Amino acid sequence: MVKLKSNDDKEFEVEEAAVIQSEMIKNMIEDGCATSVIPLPNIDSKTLIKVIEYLNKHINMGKAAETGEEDDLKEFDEQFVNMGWEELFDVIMAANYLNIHELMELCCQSAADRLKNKSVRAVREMLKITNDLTEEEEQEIINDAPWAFEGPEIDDTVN
Amino acid sequence: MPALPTELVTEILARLTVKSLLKFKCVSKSWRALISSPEFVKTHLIVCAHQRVVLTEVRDLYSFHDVQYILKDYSLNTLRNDPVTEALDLYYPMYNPQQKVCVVGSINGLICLAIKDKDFVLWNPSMRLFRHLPLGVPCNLLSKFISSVSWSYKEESHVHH
Repeated sequence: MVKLKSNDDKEFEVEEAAVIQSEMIKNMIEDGCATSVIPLPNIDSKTLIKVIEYLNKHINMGKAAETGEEDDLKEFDEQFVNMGWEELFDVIMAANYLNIHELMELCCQSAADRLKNKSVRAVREMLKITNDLTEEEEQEIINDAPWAFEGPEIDDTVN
Repeated sequence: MPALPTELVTEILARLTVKSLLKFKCVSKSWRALISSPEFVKTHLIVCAHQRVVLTEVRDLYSFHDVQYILKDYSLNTLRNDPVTEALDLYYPMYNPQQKVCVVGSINGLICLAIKDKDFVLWNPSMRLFRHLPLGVPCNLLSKFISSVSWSYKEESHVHH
């Protein structure tokens, strides 16, 4: 068992087989730097619980393919990314920091899927981005490819 | 909400279609700069490579004289995994189903079409841009031509206009 500590001082025990899906922790264990508790100063306990849930479910990825549990895993992944924006970004940052490739892939794809049909206005609001382009600059971008700003799929809602 | 670092924004945007990316250049100056950068275009190409395939469908409606040529766009992923695949008709430059069209070659999402066996068009379906290739290129020289085009693409044109 490996002990992980979140930045709000909560400790979690995780099986080594699960936790080594994180390249960062795997390297720490291999280098003998993971003797007692591994502190994770960038991750809060709420996010760490989500990440551990993912690691435990994906513990035997190879076996799932053999035993036909792939569908089960796919369903888990779909449920897993069903979370709010802020939570999703926290998990992406954690997955990036811990270097968990599959989790990064899953969450970035989910973020992209949510964004793809959004209007420009909706994206700015969802990601709290201030528009610093002038009206002329915006018009120039639209004139280059007006068809990209049209179509029935363009979604102006913010969620 | 803390702003995502640029490397993570890149990871997310690299999974979007070209249409969405052209639209999102309007989000802010930093998004415009990121999406237009040659580095991003390369990343996008790596993440999104080999996702779609274009096939030519020849429909023989009533007789030999009434043949239609249609270009179809398929998602490679659904072709592999789903029993039924949805295909979209592609409206290539100077679309006309009565004229013969075939795909001569493709590289990095650029497609070279031969229309009526004599007009050669270099086409980027994602960006909806095309260029006519000089007339009078004999077919046997075309492969040479395509390799030079791919060279100039690699060297110069990793840019979403």
